[in-house]
Amino acid sequence: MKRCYHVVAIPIRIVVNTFGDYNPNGYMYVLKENESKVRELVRKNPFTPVDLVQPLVIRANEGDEVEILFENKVHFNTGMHFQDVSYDVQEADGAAVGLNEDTTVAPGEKIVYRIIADQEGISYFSDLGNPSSSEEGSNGNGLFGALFVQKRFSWWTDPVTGKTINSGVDADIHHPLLPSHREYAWIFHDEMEINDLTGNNPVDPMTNQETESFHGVNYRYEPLHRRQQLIEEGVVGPGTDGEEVHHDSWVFGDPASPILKGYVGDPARIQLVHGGVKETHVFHYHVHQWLSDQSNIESNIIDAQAVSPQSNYTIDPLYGLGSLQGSYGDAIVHCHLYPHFMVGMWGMNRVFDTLQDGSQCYPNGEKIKALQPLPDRPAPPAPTKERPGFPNFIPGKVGYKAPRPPLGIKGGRGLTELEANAAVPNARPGAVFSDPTPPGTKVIEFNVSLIELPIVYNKQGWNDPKGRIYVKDEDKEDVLAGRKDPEPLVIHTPANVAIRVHFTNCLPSVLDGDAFQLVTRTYESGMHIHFVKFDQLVCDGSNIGWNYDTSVLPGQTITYEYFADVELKAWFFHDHIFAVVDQPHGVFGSGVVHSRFSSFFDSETGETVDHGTQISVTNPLIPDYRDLALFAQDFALLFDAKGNPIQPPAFPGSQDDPGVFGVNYKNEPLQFRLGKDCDPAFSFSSFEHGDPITPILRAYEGDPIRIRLLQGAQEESHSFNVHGLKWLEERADLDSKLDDQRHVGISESFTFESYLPRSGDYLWAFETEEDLWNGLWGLIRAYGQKVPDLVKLPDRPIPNIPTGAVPDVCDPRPDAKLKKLNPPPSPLKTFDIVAFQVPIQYNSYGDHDPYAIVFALREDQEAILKGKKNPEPLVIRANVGDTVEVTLTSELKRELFPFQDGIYPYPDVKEQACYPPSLRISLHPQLIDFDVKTSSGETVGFNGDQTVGPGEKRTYRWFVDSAHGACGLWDMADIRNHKSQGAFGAFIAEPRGSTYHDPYSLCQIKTGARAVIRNPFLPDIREFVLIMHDGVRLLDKCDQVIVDPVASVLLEDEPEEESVDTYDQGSHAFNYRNERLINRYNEKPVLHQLFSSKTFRDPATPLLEAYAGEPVTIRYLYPAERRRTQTFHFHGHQWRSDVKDVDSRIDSTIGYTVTGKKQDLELIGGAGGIKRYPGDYMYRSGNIQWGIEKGLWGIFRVYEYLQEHLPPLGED
Amino acid sequence: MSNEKDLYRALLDLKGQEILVVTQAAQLNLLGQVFRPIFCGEVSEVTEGSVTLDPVIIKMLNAPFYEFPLPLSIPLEKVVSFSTEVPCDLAFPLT
Amino acid sequence: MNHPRQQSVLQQRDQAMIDEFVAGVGRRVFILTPSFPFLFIGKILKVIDDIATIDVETTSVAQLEEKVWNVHIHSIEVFYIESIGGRKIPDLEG
Repeated sequence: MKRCYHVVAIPIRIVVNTFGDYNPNGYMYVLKENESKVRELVRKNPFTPVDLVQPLVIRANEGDEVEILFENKVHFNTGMHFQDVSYDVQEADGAAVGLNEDTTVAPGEKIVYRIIADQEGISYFSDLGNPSSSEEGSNGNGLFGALFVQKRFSWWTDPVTGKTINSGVDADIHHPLLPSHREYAWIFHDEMEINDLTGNNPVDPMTNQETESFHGVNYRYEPLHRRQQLIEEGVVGPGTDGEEVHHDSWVFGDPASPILKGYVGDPARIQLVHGGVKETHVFHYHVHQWLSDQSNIESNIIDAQAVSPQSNYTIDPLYGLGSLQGSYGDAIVHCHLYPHFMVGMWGMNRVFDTLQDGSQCYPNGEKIKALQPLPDRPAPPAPTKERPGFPNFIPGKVGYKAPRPPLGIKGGRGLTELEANAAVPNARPGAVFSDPTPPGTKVIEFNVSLIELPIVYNKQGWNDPKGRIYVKDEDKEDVLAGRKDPEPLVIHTPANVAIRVHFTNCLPSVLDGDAFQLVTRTYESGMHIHFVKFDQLVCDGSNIGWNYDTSVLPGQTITYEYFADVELKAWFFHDHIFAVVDQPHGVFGSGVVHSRFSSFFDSETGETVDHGTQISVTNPLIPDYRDLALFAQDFALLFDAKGNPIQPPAFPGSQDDPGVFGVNYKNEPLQFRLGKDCDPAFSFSSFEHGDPITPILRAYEGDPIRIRLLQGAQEESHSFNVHGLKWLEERADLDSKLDDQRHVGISESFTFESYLPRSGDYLWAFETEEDLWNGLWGLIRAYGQKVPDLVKLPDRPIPNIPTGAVPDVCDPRPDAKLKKLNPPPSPLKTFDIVAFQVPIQYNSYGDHDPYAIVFALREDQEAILKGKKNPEPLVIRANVGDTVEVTLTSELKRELFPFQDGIYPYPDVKEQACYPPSLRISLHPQLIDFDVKTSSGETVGFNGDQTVGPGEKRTYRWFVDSAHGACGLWDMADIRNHKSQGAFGAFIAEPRGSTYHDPYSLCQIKTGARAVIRNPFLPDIREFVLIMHDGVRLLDKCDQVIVDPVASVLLEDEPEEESVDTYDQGSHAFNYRNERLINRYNEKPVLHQLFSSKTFRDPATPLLEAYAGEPVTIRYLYPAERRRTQTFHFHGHQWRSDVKDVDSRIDSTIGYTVTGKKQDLELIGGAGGIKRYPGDYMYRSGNIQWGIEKGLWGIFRVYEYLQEHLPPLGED
Repeated sequence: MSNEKDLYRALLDLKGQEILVVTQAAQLNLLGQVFRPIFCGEVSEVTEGSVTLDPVIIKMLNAPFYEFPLPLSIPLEKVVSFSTEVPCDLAFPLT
Repeated sequence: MNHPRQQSVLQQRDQAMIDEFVAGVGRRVFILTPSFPFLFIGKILKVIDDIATIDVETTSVAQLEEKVWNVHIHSIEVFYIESIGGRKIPDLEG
């Protein structure tokens, strides 16, 4: 079917909330039929939000041809670049890339884009005519939208009127054979310029400083600081402080941000889209859970999803609105990054239990808009006087804080008459208006308190004097007295039980002020849980919309009840009331759901336990295992032993990255682990320094293990890596790929199942440079023989490999000896690799790194040093079944390091300290098989030394156990001075029987980022290895430091002296090359042609070449090194999100890429996509801010006709 | 296998010997623990319809030498392949 | 094309499986199937054609337990029928 839309890009004033905050320079896409109406409404309403001013959402069915007549009415060239659909790149790319025609349009002009909506899902569209990230840019000011592709034969209507609609963020979708469902667009975006009513930057009344930048949804945000002003001025909320009523509709009425409406049980779909330019957000939706991959029923069930710029996800809450328990009320939907949440990045899903025909009002008198029931479902009952339905049975008082729930609070009140009418038959504390717990379910009770106490994080005495943590009541005294070490509370239960928590608030009612925070009256707290099933009205541990305030005052106890059905994972809990101020102090914990019939014991004593970050688990039917929960923390507001604040912000209350980091309230910073020889290479060694204070999982060789990865606080991304182990990405799906790295954002939760194949110490780390430097690492220790105080798993034997005495701190550090194998293994591949320093030219404008460190085959070294070869990251390959022996030599020279003390003026990391560059080097590989005691590349724990010094040689032995594809390689000898300088590469694990050929000569090769891979049983493929990296210190052609990102921003006349977060500092590149747009702009200031090779030339980044239809695999890696994640996007092409799983979702972006990330992209249809369109396709970062501008883009050139220099596949 | 006229008799001859058996399902799920149906153990009983292994190891990805607490009977019609030449203590990739 | 001898091998095996379950009537059985709910533990009540009627004590989801299920014998991937003097299938509490 063909659908036609006439879309116009217009400048428009965007009012983002009812306080009159607005963007004076907004842009939006709008349907032509609405254009004049929108302009007129905005003209008449300059200070109130206009409904029609929303991101454009249009719809089509799978298979439809969609023709868009696009008209440009802004003052610069714009276009529409579509993701995840098929189109002819020479006619509909919405950009001017390489040798393609320019498919942006000039002001006043029009163009027709023809696209095919290949599959159900989200096609995000945005502008590439103005890629500036400044306030003059297009994306940051709202120029984005989405096409939602439905199943074939669908149609859609307005949820209020029931009439068909042509656009709109909310719609009801109907189908002749499938259930109707609600569809809601949830489009995050950030960094939009905002003025207040006076035309100035908004000021926070609490701190008197400029507020955080805009973070919103669908062009709206409802910030705490605006609502707080009303409290300050005495308009509403007497006696309240601010954060605890931020989302309270009793006090303020409903927010301007989206309220997604439906009835209990309605099938629903939230289309989560990231239209922002910079940050990875974490989408969290209370009360509900969904499959992480909609097309794979065996994928992980989650309730929080990290989402990066220009990525998107389809979210179908399991069991419909209200989840399995049929709960109704207001379920908040928000970005979980606290500073964003605080500044207004939230909305609600309002689930009604009674019919809304437009005649009802909210408690504050505002009309409740009509909501059409879905046509194939029974309508809910009409409201009556006795049962008025939510929210009109709740005994709240408009203008005042929400009331507390009935029955739940010890010594609290019972039910009013209206509440009793609305209650379930078995109403009880924690479950009043819906009952999540099936009758006969076993109930396990916990008594939990929230307490305050000083917590010491490390041996140097870094401490939080106001640590706030959850503890079991039974442990409270011991923890407060110092007899038990404080750790995040992790409770353990088997599946299919009900958990009843009696929560007591034992916090002081004031959180004192200091260098980090203003004094705050934290007079109430609760326990908000993720993931399990509960009655959202009385059990959410929060204060949302028209719900109750389900927290308690100091000294009070409230009962919560949850049902943990079957999904086996860790669920996160934390305080939702004063989360911004409390959570950095440790207010978080977890519940872990294990298989039914499991029991838990202490790994040291064998005693039965029901909580603990590290325990052992036994089960009559499935293998026993060790369990470890790790909580990453940032914004750890610590003081040193002398009482000085560590990394305080510019002013108390600032959300600008204060503090340092922790894991389970501990850290082991590397600056304190330099030994007598001052060599960073031994920073992780327990010989001399002792074991780290951070968690060490103790087990015996062969033990199965489960790691629960969570983030407790507060805002930033972290990258969890384990060296030497791997797990299934989708735990319940054996077809999913194996991984050893995971990005985690606040409130996400992952479970990794693995086992310890060999004895030794395995490093786990949050491995971005700043995290690792500041102490976020630890060990997994697998003993090869019995040790006291480690009870064995009941169904496993104790290993009995005599390894001699257990090592001691005072022992000399041994060298890791690789035993010779007799007979030598076969097949065997050997590599002779040398690490040395050489200047690298990053592009033709003279940007260069004079101090780069590279790995290369010895046979290539001379050519590189002589300048005959411009260095690329080393890429080596081997096949499944190969044993690989890599001999590594260090030729690093001290005088070639730019900073002899390891302290860099730029790029910076927090708490820099003397860390003189190591001349030792090593190589650590991801995913493939090796013995951590000899061949992991790091000198960790009580393993022997695996680094190599100048003049020495060391051999590592690796085994390719599976066709893992892309595996990162990097140095572990000096994580501060080597990796950002280029000390990384890639190892590609290819299928058995493969040979690797130069794509131009077809001769066999030993290295190279571009190759043709041949195999007797598989198609020939073109393979391109793309290594994205960051934190690079570049000099320009005049040898001046390029202070990225500020130096790369387009259209910034007066670059602000803003301090950029540490993790945004440094330059970016693909394979040691970038093409910064500012260089091109300075040459020719034509914004919309910055990617054009006709106006300029081909970029310095790798040019990938193929013929239309040829099979292509991109091996994408991100080994180094900062915490800012980038999205990777490829124009006009798509791939299976899980390369091993045919059932997995189809994507054209890779989200949240960060240290250790790797992915194999098998391009669907081959070069040119399904339709094999020739042309130039851009591959790039999806981050408009500080991504593309920094030069993170390149070209994939798909030829139609034979090129002399490039033999086609299949030719000999 | 000797006595190859008849699988039943051939299997009977294997009583007391170790075999590795792989069955049809893509994966099995036991209380949330998923694994490929790869079993290795000693043939303890044979009928016309099934073969029983006792003791038996299930080669789980995260516990490749896990000895199951019960004997396991495998319907012959579910057997996809089996071998007497793969020792039960052999470590090999399972992906 | 169904070879006559192959056809009878299939029938023999199928019948032999049914016979095993008939012989197990009154005993407890442990069953794994690839399809949801993946696990059955209970007592074999009777066998009709190739369907075993089982009084299920335990399966993967508590709400489906303490009920009579009819399981297609030829969908069973692996199983264990308790025998006199043989190992007992554990009683799973909670």
